[in-house]
Amino acid sequence: MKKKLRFILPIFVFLFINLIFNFSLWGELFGNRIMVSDNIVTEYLIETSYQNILQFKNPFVTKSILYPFTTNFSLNDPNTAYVLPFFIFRPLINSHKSLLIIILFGFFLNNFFMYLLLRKLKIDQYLSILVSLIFGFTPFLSHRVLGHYAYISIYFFPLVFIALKKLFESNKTIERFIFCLVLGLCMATVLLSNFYYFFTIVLGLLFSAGYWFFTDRKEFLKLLSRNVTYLFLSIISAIFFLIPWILSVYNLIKTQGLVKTPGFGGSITLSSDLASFITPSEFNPLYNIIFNKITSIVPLFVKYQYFFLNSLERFSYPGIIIVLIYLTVTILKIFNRFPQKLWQLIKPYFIVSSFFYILMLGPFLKIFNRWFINLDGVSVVLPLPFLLLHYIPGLSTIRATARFTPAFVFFACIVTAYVINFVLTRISKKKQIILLVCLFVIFFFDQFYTISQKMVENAPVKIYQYLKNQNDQKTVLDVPFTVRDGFNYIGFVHGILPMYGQLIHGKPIIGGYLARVPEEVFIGYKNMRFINYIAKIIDKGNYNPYSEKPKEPNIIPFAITSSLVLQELNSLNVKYIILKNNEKYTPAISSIISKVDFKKIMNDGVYDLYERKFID
Amino acid sequence: MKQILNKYTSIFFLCGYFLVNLVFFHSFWAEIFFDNSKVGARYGEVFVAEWAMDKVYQNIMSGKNPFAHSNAVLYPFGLDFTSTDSGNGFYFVLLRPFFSEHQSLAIIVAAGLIFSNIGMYLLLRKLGISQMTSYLLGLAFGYMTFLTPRVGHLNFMSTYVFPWFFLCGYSLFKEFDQKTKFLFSAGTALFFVLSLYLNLYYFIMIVLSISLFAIYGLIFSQKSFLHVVKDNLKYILLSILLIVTFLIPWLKVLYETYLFEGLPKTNGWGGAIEFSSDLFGFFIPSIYSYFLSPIAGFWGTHFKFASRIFENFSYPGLFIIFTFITLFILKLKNKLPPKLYLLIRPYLYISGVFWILTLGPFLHILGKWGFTLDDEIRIVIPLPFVIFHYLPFMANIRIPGRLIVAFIFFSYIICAYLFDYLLSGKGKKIKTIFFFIFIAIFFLDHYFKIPVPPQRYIPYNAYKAIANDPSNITVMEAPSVVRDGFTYFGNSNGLEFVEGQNIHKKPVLAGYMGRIPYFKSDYYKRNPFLGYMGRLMDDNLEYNGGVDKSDLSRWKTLDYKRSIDSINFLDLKYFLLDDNRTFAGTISAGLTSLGFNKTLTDNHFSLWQRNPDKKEYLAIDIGSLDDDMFLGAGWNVREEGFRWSWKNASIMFKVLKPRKFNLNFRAAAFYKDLKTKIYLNKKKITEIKLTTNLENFSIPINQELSEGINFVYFLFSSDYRPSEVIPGNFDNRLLSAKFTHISLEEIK
Repeated sequence: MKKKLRFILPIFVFLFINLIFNFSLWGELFGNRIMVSDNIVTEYLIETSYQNILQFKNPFVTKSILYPFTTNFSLNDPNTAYVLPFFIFRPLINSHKSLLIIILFGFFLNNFFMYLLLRKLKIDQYLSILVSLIFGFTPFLSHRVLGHYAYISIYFFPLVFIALKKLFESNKTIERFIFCLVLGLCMATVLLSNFYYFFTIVLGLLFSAGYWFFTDRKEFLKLLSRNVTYLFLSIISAIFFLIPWILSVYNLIKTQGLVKTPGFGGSITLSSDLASFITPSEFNPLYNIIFNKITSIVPLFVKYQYFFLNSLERFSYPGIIIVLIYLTVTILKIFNRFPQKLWQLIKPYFIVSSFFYILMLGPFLKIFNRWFINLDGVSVVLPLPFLLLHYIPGLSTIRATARFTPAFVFFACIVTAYVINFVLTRISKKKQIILLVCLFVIFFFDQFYTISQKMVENAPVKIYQYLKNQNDQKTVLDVPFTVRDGFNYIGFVHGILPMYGQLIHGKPIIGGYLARVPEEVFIGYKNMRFINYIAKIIDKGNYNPYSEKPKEPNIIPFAITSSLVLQELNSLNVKYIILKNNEKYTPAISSIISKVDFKKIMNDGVYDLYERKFID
Repeated sequence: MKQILNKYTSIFFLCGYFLVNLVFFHSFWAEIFFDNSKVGARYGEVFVAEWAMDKVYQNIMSGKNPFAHSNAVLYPFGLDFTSTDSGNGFYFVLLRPFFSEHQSLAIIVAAGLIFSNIGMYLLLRKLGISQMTSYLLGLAFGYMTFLTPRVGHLNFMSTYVFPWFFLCGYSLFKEFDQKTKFLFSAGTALFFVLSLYLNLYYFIMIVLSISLFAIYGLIFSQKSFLHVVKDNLKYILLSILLIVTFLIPWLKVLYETYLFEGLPKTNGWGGAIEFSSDLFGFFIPSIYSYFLSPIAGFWGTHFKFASRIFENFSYPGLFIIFTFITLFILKLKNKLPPKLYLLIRPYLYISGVFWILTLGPFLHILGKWGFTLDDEIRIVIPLPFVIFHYLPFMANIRIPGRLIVAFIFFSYIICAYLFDYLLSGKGKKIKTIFFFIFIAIFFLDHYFKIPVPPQRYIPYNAYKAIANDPSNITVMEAPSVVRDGFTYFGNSNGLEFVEGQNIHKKPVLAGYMGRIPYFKSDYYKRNPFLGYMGRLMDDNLEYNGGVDKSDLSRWKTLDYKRSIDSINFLDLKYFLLDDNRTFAGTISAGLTSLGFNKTLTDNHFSLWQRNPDKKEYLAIDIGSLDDDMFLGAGWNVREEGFRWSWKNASIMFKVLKPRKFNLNFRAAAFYKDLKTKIYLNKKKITEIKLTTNLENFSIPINQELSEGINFVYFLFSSDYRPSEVIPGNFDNRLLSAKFTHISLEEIK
């Protein structure tokens, strides 16, 4: 009974906290309001892969977005790993809800696998639960849960660790064989889920191996020689699982070539700031109140509040418990007061986590967004080790270094667990309970987040359903739309709803949003005079929807004849136009499309559907 | 024999030093017998330095402040001698009655080097170094490799201030006899002040060395350091008191300059990056080295940066290189005796600091001081000089390479300790071999060529004709220049006017000094006549960064009306023109049209003459096209009918007959009411309050205006940047007051 309770308790705690933290996501499972953010891209890619697999097509190729161009998204964070659970959920519920269940379950797995790992490392059970929560709900995810679902699956870190540990520790050949296959499958799945996490794990393994090699060469070589066959088998199995993806990538490179990231590709902006380490999440309601209060009292704090409110791409706050533990360890170590026995335990994890922390800081040290000092006209920067990584062939695509944060947090959680465990073993039971309760309360208030409802919209599901029922494969022009990737955009930067619509009606759409869009697609769209005109007048600037206001769109005069518009729409097979009816640009577009025989046939909230007779 | 040797050691030593001096600087001693300046065979930099020293000497002889302001160059502004490194002018008192200024300086330089040998020898002996090592290193220090390319910069030859200052300072602490201590207090003060007068860089190095010694003492031997300071406090205070006393004349002139002209400011790095030593500069000898020039040539051929080494020259010589390599090896092998290390530690630390400072603000490696990454991001390695640069007044130290002198000085002390350590316990034979090897290396490494400047025709007849004119007039030459260490206007090499001024003694419309305040050179650029001539004389105008190219077409023709006014205002009577120059024809035509007549031809020089019109200039419409020739320091660009002034502004009026006037002007303060002090020719007239409303003022001047050009100064209590006080304004200028009209009204 006690054993059962020991097993049920963590599961219950993980689910309970999951429900509280992700309350609005759970709510989306039971309603029609959906969040229209980068999550739609993930949803679109998984659903497309899923449908392609069902039809025995290449899972990574589509023509349904960015029409009339064919898109190969095998190098676009395809989240293909999520396709597997889709086979379970999709036959029963729609793609949006299927993905939500996978994401919510992902949070649970984050906690669960970390818990298993910590228990394996002989950490106290209650402390393991607490540290698993710290890890599974790391503040980094408070930003990513808004749409970057590929980053939720941080459970791969403890999972790979467990698989490796098991592989190295086991003496049974069959067991080792199974774990090496698990490891291979894991690595393949990580690659298909999130390139950053894949690189992170590879880097972590290489650095740990290097560290081990230099500190205990004999033991390392012994272990390597004992396991080299199994590791090789793991690599082979990973490649085997990845064959379809590798073929698709090969095709992509053959046809389009490898997209090269110019210069630093924004890695200076996308790297962590030194101040980010101690700046909590803007989505934590408590910190939000504190920042607002302090700003109203101390006007100088305004700049820091701006930093706090606009931290998405440089965010790397690991939680106050980790911050305090790391500061304590560092200070005690400097003054030579840190217990030697404990240091021996945490040393490798502390060093690997520090390695990731330095990588997170990107190519140049940044303090409060300043990454250079101007000394009488000479800009002085402090280069960091990431620069070396940037110049390694193939690795220049890694540009958002703040995304190494989960790796830092993972190793930091192990350090934290060891340190607190060390303290727990030296205090009475009563003090242990008080300490754990206090830490739990700190965790709760420090790492709690609310999912902003600013991007939640009522999608015109009625219109999408109507289109779904039309037996043609004509193109839908859903306004506002965007053509966007990580560097460039045209149209309305947050015009992602058409991709959600496409998942329902299944027809090709104009526009789309992927991590990387080939340059010729942008050029192609800019050469379409009518589409480019719409893209211009619906553009409200590239703004942060959570902390900034959009610009007023600039309605420029339209100077193209109706016959040219018709010609362009015919060439794109556009039969349906969905137009938002409460925007400044609505009358201009409505007037043009009326002249080319589009008739309003339906209204759904703030959206109108226009249709025309289309003769092939 | 041994007894005789011991008795006359000092004389032998002195003879040795003198002999070496003759070998190195025989051409300087030869000036006593043949004055090369008479045939124009001296470098421009040298005769400018000599001219300034002579002015200091003349000031002394006429009972004035040695550094007092002179109108002889840069007329009508003139200059003072606080920052011209003209301290050798003090020695002129002894030599000038017998020799020319050129001969005097040659003697001072050559004798100064012997003084340097002796100073270093005595200092090393005081530090407990053996006689032979002290003697040899005294020799090496005196002819340090740094001096090899400095024959044009003779003020850098006075390296003796280092050993003599530290000898006096060290003795002050070490001696017990009160009288001796008192004497060394005075010596310390004297050499400290002398270093300031002789060479500003050497002064900074000495100040920095004192600070570094103090920091070292406070960190490594706090107790004994404080103890020594406490025990000698009264002598230290005495030294400080004497320093202040010796500095009074200099401080007085400096304060006056600060008040009415402002101190020269260096913008940005002022060349500190280009003039920094290279990491490899330590191993590159001078191209002027007699024996090692092939090595310098090799470096120059293979590395572009090495072919241009001059200000960033930092080769310390083989003895120092050997010393540091030996110490490094001993340290590496853990064989450096702790006793020796303890002795050299303070010098190691101080020389290390100076060496790092010579590397400048950013590390240079083989001529490169950064590399460019993606997105054009440049990686540079900042060095401690950056902190140094941002300390008050230190921005003027813009040639870090020159700091190598202090490094060399402290390194020779380390050398001395090491050589003594290596020679300790060795027999006489070994020591003799060491002596001869040292001498051989010394000549190989330190001996350098002193280039002989070409002879040049000096138009004595023309200069004498000008000198014979008793009236208060001014002279201009073509070619001539207004030049400092950063910029020039006119013909960059046209420095002969300095020589001429020394002969005819009339003020000249040109000038060359290390630092010239911006407003003075700007006046020459804006003045209708001087601006035209300066641009015409410049053979390299299109590459001259100091001249605005946007309005060059305006300066293509001479503005006759305004030029005549300028000539009259500046009392320009003589114009000496070198007819061999390309611009001679155009200038001759211009001079003819302005009413000048050619009155004398002296070889290829023509002397043009025109008597200035007797005209007074008593009114200035500020903001009109005619205001340029009346504005001195502190004026912003012309706006519609007015100009904004800076915190200190000056204007000029010309009066023919001394008498009293009212000063009338229309002005308003910017942003806030301002207290305004008004001075006439640096004498205070009154203090008024300027409001932000444009108002008319009429102020009686309680003193007579003198004949010629008179300066009126407005000194405001504050200035403001519009960008800082007016929301949404991006104007970053510093503004004090707005003026529309200023005039003089005779009191009847």
